[in-house]
Amino acid sequence: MSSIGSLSRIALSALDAAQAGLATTGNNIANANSPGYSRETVIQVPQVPYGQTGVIQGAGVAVIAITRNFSQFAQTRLWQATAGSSAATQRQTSMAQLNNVLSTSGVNLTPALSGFFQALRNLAGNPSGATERQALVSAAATLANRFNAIGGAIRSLHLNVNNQITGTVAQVNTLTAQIARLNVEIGGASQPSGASQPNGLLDQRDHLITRLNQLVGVSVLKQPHGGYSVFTANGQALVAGSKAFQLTTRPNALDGQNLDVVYTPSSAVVSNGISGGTLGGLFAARDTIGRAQNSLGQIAVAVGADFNRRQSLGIDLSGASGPPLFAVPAPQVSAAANNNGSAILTATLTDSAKITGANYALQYQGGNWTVQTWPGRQSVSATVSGNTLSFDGLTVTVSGIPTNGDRFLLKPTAGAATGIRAVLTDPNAVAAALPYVSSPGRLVNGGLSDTNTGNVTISPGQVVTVPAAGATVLPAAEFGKTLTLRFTAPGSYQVSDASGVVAGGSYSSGAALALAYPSPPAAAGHYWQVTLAGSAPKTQDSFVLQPAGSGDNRNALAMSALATAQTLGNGSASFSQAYANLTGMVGNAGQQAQLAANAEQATLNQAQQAQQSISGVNLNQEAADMLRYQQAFQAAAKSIGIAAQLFNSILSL
Amino acid sequence: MIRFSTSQIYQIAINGILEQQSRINGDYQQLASGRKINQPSDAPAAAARVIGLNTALERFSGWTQNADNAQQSLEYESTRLQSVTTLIDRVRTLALQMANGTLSLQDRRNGAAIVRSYLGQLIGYANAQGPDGQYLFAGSRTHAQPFALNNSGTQVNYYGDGGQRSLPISSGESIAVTDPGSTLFMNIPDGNGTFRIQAGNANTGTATAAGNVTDPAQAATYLQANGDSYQISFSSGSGGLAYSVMRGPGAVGSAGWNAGATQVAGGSFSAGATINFDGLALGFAGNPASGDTFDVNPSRGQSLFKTLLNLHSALTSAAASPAQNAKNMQAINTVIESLDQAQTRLGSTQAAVGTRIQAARTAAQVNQSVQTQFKQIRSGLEDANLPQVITRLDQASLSLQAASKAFVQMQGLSLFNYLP
Repeated sequence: MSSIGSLSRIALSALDAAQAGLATTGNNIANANSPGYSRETVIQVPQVPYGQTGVIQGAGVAVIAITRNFSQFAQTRLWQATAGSSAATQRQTSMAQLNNVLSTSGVNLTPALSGFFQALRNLAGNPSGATERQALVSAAATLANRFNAIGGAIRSLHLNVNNQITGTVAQVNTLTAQIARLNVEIGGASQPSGASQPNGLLDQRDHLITRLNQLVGVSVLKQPHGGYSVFTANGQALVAGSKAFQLTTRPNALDGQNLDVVYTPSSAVVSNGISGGTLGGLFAARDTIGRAQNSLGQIAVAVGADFNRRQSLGIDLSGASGPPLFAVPAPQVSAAANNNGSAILTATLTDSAKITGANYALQYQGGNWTVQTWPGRQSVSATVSGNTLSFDGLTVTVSGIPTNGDRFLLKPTAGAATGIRAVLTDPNAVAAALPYVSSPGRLVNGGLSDTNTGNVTISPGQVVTVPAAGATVLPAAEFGKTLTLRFTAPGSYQVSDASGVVAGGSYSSGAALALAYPSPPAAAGHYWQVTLAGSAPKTQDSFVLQPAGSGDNRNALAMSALATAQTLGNGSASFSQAYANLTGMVGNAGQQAQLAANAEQATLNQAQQAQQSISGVNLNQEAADMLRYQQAFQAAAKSIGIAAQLFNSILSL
Repeated sequence: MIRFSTSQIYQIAINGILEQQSRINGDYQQLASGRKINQPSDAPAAAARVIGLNTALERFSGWTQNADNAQQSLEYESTRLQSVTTLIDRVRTLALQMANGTLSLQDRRNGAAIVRSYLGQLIGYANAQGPDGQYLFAGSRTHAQPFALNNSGTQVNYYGDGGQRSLPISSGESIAVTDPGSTLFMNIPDGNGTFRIQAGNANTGTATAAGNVTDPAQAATYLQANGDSYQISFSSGSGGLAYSVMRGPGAVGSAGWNAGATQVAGGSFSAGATINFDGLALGFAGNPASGDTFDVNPSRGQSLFKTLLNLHSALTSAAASPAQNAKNMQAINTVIESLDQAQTRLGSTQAAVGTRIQAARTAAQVNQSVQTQFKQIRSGLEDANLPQVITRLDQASLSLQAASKAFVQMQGLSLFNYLP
C-alpha cells in the first residue's frame, strides 16, 4: 500500500538527487578550465522498496555515485603523445637556437672568411704595402674572433642543454614524489566496493603523469588497489606505490663534458633509453650540437694548419721564415673516470686534410688498442707503431701502462673553434714572398750581370716535399744564402755560396737543384726546388738564387689560392664548402626537427581532442543539464507541495 | 558525433589564430629582410648553395679587382716603356748623325755630351717608380733603386732580380703585371742579333764592314751553337788585295781560337765586293788596307746602357786619322744595330704588355658577366618572391580575420546566454 507519506519521501529523494545533479553540474562548470579535470556525472538509480507485496510501488531515487567521464585508453594515448610532442618541441627549440647561430644575420663565418681572403688578395696586389699587411693581420684576428664567437655560441647551447637536463631531472623527482603521495591518498580514500572514487585526486594524479610525460617518456601500470607504478622507457620504476625513486645527473664516465641521467637506486646510466619528453629532446639535440661544434672546429684546425704551413714556407719582410699566423689548440685527450692504469695519451695533428669531425673512443683490451668514433661507435682502423697509433690524420702517443678496459676520449676538433687565436701581430712578419728569386747571370759587386750565351733557362722555383729524381740536394744550412750556379763545362755545374763551392752536379736538361727548408715544425720535409732546362749550356753560364725582395707576392698568391683549395675531408672541400656543409647539416637538422615537431603536435592535438571528447566539460551541455536538474528540482518540490495539499485535505475532513 | 569540450573549442580556435599569426610572422620576416632564407633550416640545401655562391662571387669580384689593378699597372708600365722607346729613337737619330766621317771634333764632343744626358734619362726611366714609390723594373726588389751607374761612369749595374709579379685575374688564369729590368734593359743581344763586327785596332785602311745573315740555320750552328768566331784579314798578294776568313772556336785571339782556327774562305778582294762564308755576307765600304782585320763574333748579351756607353766612347775617342775614323764608324754602326735589337726587345715586351692588358680587360668583362649570372642564381635561391609573399600575407591576414571573427561569434553561442 502506498501512502501520502511515501509520496513526500519519494519527492524528497528526487529533491536530493536534483540537488546532487545541480551541484555536480556546478562543479563541472567551475572546473571547465582546470587542466586535467574530468567531467563528472551523477549516477542515480530508482529506489526499490523492501517487503512489498501486491502492486509494487517505486520508492524514489537514490544517488549512488558521482563518476568521472574517463577513458584509460584515451588518457594513455594522451600521455604518449605528450611525451612525443614534448621531445620534438624541445629538439626543435634547440635546433632553432643552433640555426640562429648560423643564420645569415647571425655571427656568420662567411663574411670573416671572405674578408680574410680579400686581405690576402690585396696583399698579393701590393706585397710590401704596410696598409695591406696590417689589414691582413687584422683580418686574421677578425677571422679567429668569428670562429671564437660561433664556437662560443654553440658551446653555450651545449652548456644550456646540460643545465636543462639538470633542471628537468629535478622537476621529474618533484613530480614522482607527488605521484607517490597521491598513490597513498587515493589508496586511503577509495572505498573497497569501488562505488565512490576520489575523482579530484585521480584527476590530479593523471595530470601529474601528463606533466611527467612532458619531461620524460614514462609508462604506467595500474596496481590492484588503485596505485600507479611509473616506469622509465628502460623499465626502471620511478614510482612504485608509496615510494618514489629519484633520478640524478652525473658527468659521463668517458666524456666529462656531457651529463648522463642516472637511476639512483641502481646507479645505472639511463640516458640512452630516454627518447620522450624534454629530456629525450635534449639528448637528441645535444648530439647535433656536438657535431656542429666539431665540424666548425675541423674548419678552424684546417685554417690554422694550412696558413701556418704556408707562412713557414715563405719569407717575411726581414727575410726570415714566416712565423705562425694562428694558434689552434691541440687535440684534447681525456681519460675515462674509471681507468685503473697509469697510461697517458697525447695526440697531435699530422694532416689537417685527413681529420674528420668525429670524436674517438680508444680502449685498451687484451694488449691492443681499439679505436671507435664517439658517440657513433664506428670502428676506425689505426696504424700501430710502437707506442703510437695513427688514424684519420692524427697520431696518438701512449705513455705509461694501461690496464685492460682503460678508455680514453679523443676530441680532435671540439675545442678548436673556441680556442683558435690569431697570434701574428707584426705586419712585417707576414710571409708574402717565397724564399728565392732565380735570375740568369751572376752577381758582380752586388749587381746582376747576365752574360749567358747558352740557351739554358732557370725555373722561378717551387716548394716540393720530395726533390725530383737526381736533384742536387743542398742542406738546410744553405737556406737563405745567395747561391750561384755556374757551368764549369757544358755537362757539369757547381753551386757556390759566398764562401765557396757547396755542391756540384752533372747537367742534362731538366736538372733540378733542391734546397732543404730549415725545420720549424711546419716546414720540415719541404724543399725549394728550381729546374734548369735547355740543351746547350755554355761554360761560365750562370744563374743566381737570391732571397726574394719585398715585391715578391708569390706566397701571398699561394695563400689566397687556399680560398678554393680543397684542403678538408681528404681533398673534398674548401674552407667555405666545409662551412656550407655545416650549414646544410644544421639546416637539415632544424628542418627535420620542425617537421617532426609539427607532426607530433598534430598527434598531440588529436589525442587531446579524443581525451577531451570524453573527459572535457562542454558548457552548453552543462547549461542543458542545469536546466534539466532545475526542472527536476522544481517538479520534486511541486510533488512535495501536492503531498502537503493531500495531507491538508485529509486533515480538513 | 564527436563531442567537444568547451576548453577544446577555445584551444582549437586559439591554435588556428596562432598558426595564422606564425605564418604572417614568417611572411613579415621575408618582407623585412627581402630573403626567403633567413635561417639555414628554412631551406638547408639552398642555404648551403648560397654560401657557395657568395664565396664564388667574392672570388670573382677579387679577380675582377685584380684584373683592374693589373690593367692599371700594365698601362703605367706601357707608358714608361713608350718613353724608353722614344728615347732610343732619339739616340739612334743622333748615332746616325754621328756616323759621318766629316764631323768636327766639336760636333762629336757635343754628341758625346748629349749621349751622356740620354744615358742619365735612360737610367731615370729604368728606375721608374709606381704611384706607391715602388720601383717598377726591379723584379722582386721593389724597394731599392735597381739601376745605378758605377763611380767611374763606365757601367750601369742592375741590383734587382729576375722576379716577375703575377696576379690571378680569372679562374685558372694569371697574368704577369711587372717585367723585371733584367729582361728589359740587360742582356740584349748586341750587333745585329746574330753577330757583331769589330774592326781591328791596328787597321790602317778606311773600310767599314756591314753584314747580314744569308743562311740563318748555318749561322746559328757556327756562331750560336758552336760559339765560333771569324777573322777576316786582308793582305796584299800577287794580284792585289786578297782576303782570308778564318773560323775558330771561342773569341778571336784566344788560345783555343789560335789553335783551332781554319780557313773557311779566301780569295782576291776588289773594292765593293761581298765576302760570303758560312751563311754570312759581309760588304765593305771604303778601302781596306793590307794587314787590316775584321772580327765577326757571335752576338752577346749587352745592356742598353752599355750600348749608349759604347756610343759615348766611340764619340769621345780620337779621330785623328781616316783609319781611326773608320774604326769609330764601325763602332757606331754596331751601336745602331744594337739599338735596333733593344727596340725589338722593347717592342716585343710592349706587345706582350698590350696582350696582357687585353687579357685583363676580357677577364674583367667575363668575370662581370659570371658575377651577374651567379647573382641571378643566388637571387632565385634566397630572395623572397615579393608578389608571392604579399599575396600569401594577404591570404593569411584574411584567414586570421576570419578565425578571429569566428572565435568571437562562437563565444556568443553559449546556451547560458539564453538561460532565464
